[in-house]
Amino acid sequence: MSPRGRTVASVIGFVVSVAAIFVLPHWLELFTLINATIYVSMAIMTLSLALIWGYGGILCFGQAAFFGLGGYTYAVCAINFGDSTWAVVLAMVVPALFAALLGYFVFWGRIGDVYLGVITLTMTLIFFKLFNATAGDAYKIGSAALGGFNGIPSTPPLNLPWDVGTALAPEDIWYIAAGLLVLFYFGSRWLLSTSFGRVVISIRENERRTELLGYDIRRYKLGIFTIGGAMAGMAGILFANCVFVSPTMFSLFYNAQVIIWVTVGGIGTLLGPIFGSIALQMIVAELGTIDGLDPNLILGAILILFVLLVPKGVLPSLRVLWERFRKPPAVVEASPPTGRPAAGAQKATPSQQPAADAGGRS
Amino acid sequence: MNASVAALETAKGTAPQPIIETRGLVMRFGGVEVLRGIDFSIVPGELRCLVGPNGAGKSTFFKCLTGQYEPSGGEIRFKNESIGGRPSVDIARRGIGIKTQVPSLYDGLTAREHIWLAVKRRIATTGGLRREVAPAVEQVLESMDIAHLADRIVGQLAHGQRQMVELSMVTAAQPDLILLDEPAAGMTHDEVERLAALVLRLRGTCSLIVVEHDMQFIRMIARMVTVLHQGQVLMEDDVETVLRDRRVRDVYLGKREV
Amino acid sequence: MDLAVVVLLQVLAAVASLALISVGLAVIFGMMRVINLAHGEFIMLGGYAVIYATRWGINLWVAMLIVAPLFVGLVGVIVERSVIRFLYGRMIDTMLATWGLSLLLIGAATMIFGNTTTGVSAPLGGVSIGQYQTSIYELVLIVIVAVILIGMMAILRLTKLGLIARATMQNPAMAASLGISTSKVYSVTFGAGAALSGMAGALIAPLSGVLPTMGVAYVAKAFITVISGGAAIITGTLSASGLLGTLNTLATFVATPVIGEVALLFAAIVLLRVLPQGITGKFFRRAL
Repeated sequence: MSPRGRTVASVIGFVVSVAAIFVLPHWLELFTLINATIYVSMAIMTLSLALIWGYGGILCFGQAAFFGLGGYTYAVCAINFGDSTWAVVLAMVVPALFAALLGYFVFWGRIGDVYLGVITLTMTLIFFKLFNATAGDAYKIGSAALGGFNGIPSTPPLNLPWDVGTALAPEDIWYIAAGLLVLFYFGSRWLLSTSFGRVVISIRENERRTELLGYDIRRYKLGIFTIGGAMAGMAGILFANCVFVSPTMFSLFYNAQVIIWVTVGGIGTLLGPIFGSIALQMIVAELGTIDGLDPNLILGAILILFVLLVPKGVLPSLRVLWERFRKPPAVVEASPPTGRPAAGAQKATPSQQPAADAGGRS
Repeated sequence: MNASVAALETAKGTAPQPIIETRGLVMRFGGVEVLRGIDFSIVPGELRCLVGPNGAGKSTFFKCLTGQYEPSGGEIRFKNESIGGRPSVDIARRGIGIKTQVPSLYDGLTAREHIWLAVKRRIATTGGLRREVAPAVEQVLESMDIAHLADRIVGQLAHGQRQMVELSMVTAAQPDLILLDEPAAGMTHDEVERLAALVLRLRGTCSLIVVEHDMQFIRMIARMVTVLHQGQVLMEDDVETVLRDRRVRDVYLGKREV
Repeated sequence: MDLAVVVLLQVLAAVASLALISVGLAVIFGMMRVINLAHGEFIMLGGYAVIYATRWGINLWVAMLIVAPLFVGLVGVIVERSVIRFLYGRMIDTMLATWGLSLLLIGAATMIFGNTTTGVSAPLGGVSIGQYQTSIYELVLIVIVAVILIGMMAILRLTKLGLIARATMQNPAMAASLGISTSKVYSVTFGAGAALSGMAGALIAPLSGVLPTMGVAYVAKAFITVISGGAAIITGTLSASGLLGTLNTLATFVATPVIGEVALLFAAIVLLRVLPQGITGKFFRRAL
C-alpha cells in the first residue's frame, strides 16, 4: 500500500473503531459488555506481545508475568490508597521495572531465543507458585490481603483521577479499555516509525548485522521489552476491573493464549493479533457453551493447525493473497523467484541448523 | 623468504603508522588452531587482497577483527589502540565495517531502510543532526547507483543487487577500514567490473581488506596481496609475483608440500 | 543421625524424580534439538495408562514398566509422523505446535477422564528409619532411575542403535550422507523420548495421583532441568537434577515446599544466565 493509502486507511479505521466504541454499549447487555471489555483488555496484552515478539524478535513466553504483576500492583495499591489514580500509574511502572530488570539479566547475558522463552516462562511459574502460597493473614501488604489461591476478590474499581467518590461503572471501563486499545495501537505504530522502532525491527531481521553497524542491540531490546511490560501491566489493570486478581493471571493458560493469538493473527503485524485475539476469544467462548467440549482442546487444535497450515498467521497470508490478486504474479517477482544467494554454498539442511545456539558469541 | 618480501619488510619501517595491525594473532576452537600467529598490517588508504584456499582462516581472521570472535592469543591494534576481544558494537563504532561472506541483510526491509540504518548510526556517532540523515541517505542511494532499488524489499532482489545493497550499506557508514569477504561471489561479469570500479573509488577514502578467490577481480583492484595458508601468512607481495609463485599455486591446487 | 539419613534419602529421591521426569525431554532435545512442550502431557498419559491397565487386571509393575512406555511411545511416534516432522529446523514453530498439542491433550483428557485426581496406591508399604517413616517405593524409585540412566548409557555406548544415534546427534548431514535415514532416527528418538516420559508418568502416578492438568507442573521443571543440563543427554540431566534437586530439598527443609520450588526455578534462571549453554556446555563437554 502506498503511504497515502495507508494514511487514508488509518483514518477510516480510526473513525470506524471510535464509532464502534460508542455504539456498542447501546447495543450490548451489561454482561456482554463486560465480556467485551475483557476481550479488549486481553487484546491489549496481545498487542504488547505482538510488539516485543513480532517486532522486537524477543520470544517471551512469560507475558502473563507482567499482566499479573500489573493486576496485583493495581489491586494492592488501590486498596491501600483508597484512590486508583496512583495505583494505575504504579501498576504500569512495576511491571515495566520488572521487565527492565529481567531484560537486563537476559539481554546483557546474551541469552538467545529458546533460553529466553524458558526463563520468561519460569518467571511466570515462580509468580504463580508464590502468589498461590499467600493464603492467610501473614501475607498482607498494608491492608490488602493477597488471599492465596483465591486472589483478591474485592479488587476496587477505577475511579476518576483524584476523585475517590466517583467509582466508574462497567460502561465507563469499557470506554477506557477500548480507548486505550486504540491509543496503544496507534502509539505502537508511531513507535515503530521512529528511529528507535526502525532499529528494533532491524534487530529482529538480522541481529548480527545491526550490531556490526555499531548499534548496541541490548539497549533497544531492553527498551521494547520494557514498553511491552508496561502495556501488559495496563491490560492487567483492566482485567482486574472486569474480573478480579488471582494467581490464575500468572497461569500457563494466559501465557499460552496470547502466544496463540499472536501466532494466529500474524507475527510481525499489530492488527492481526488484535483481531485474532478478539475473534478467537469469541469463538472459544461460543464453542465453550457446547456441552463437554473443553476450551483447551479448541485452543490446542487451533494452534497446531495454524503452525502447520498458516505459519505466517492470518493477516500476512491475506496480504500475500491481496498482492497476488492486485498484480499478476509475473510482475510481483521481477527478480528471480528466490532472491537468495545463487552460490548455494551456504544452504543449510533444515534439520541440522544448530538452533540452540543460545545467542552466544559463537 | 624471497628478496622482494625482505625489501618490503625494510620499506615498512619507514611507512606511516598502520591503520590496522595484528601481532601473533591466534584463534583456537577446542583443539583446532585456525589462526596460528598472524602478523599482518596495512597502512591508511591501502587496499590489500587476502587470498588463500578454503579453510586458510580468512573468514575467521575477519571475525576476529570485527569482534565476533575473541582471539585466543596475540594482539589486534586499530588506529593504534588495542581492540582484540572487544565487543563488535564497539569495534564498529571505532570505524571498522564488514561485508560478510554470506550476504548479511535485512530481508524484510527496503534498500532505503538499509542505507538509513547505516547513515543514522554514523550521524549519531559523529554527533550530527537528525535532519542530515534523510538527504545523506538519498545521496548514498544516488552515488552507489541503487536509487532504482530504493523501495524494493531486499529479500526479493537478485543476488548481485543484494551484494550492491550490502556494499552500499557498509560504505554508507563511512568506516575507516572496510573488510570485504568475497564481494564478487556469484556476480555476473558486468557486475564484477562495476564492483571493481567501485572498490577502486573507495580506495581513496578508506582502507580496505578484500578476501577474494576470483583472480581476475584481484588483478583489477589490487597491488598488494597477502596469502594465508593453514592459519599462517604464506607470503605477502605484489599481485603478479604472488600469482606467479609456485607455492601459492600448490596451495590452491591442494598439494601438501609447501 | 536418623535425620541425616532421612534428609539424604529425600535429596536422593528429589534428584531421582527430577531426573526421571526430565530424561524423556532430554533425549528429544539432545538428539533432535526439538523442545517438546507436550512433554508434561506424555507424563500424564503414562499415568492414565497405568491406572487403566491396573483396572483391567494387569500387574502394577508390568503396567508401569511396559504398558505405559509402549502406549506413550506409540503416541510419540504418531505425533512425530503427523506434526513434528513438518517442522524440523523451525525450532520456535515446533515449540508452538507442541504447546498446541499439550493443550489439545489436556482438553481431550479432561473430556474423557474428567477433571478429578485419580489415584493408584503405592506398592511395597513403608519402612521406618529410627523415628521417621518413609515409603519403600520411594527408595525403589531411586534404584529404578539409576537403572534407567545406566541402561541408556549402555545403549548409547555399546549398541549399533546407540552409535547411529550419537552420529546423528553430532552431525545429521554427515549421518544422512552415510546412508542413515535421519527421518527414521528422529521418529525412533521421538518415540523413545515419549516412552521414557510415559514411564516417568507411570512411576510417579502412585506418589502424586493422576490429573489431566498434572503435566503443567512437570513440564517447566523438566524443561529447566534439561536446558540447565545442556546438550549432553545423560550427564546433563544428571548434573542438573543433582544440583536443582538438592537445592529444592534443602530449601524445602529449611523453609516451605513452595520456597523449595521457587529456589529451584530461581537457581535455574541464574544458572542459565551464568552458563547459557547449560552445565555440559561448559563442563563434561565430551560426555553423553
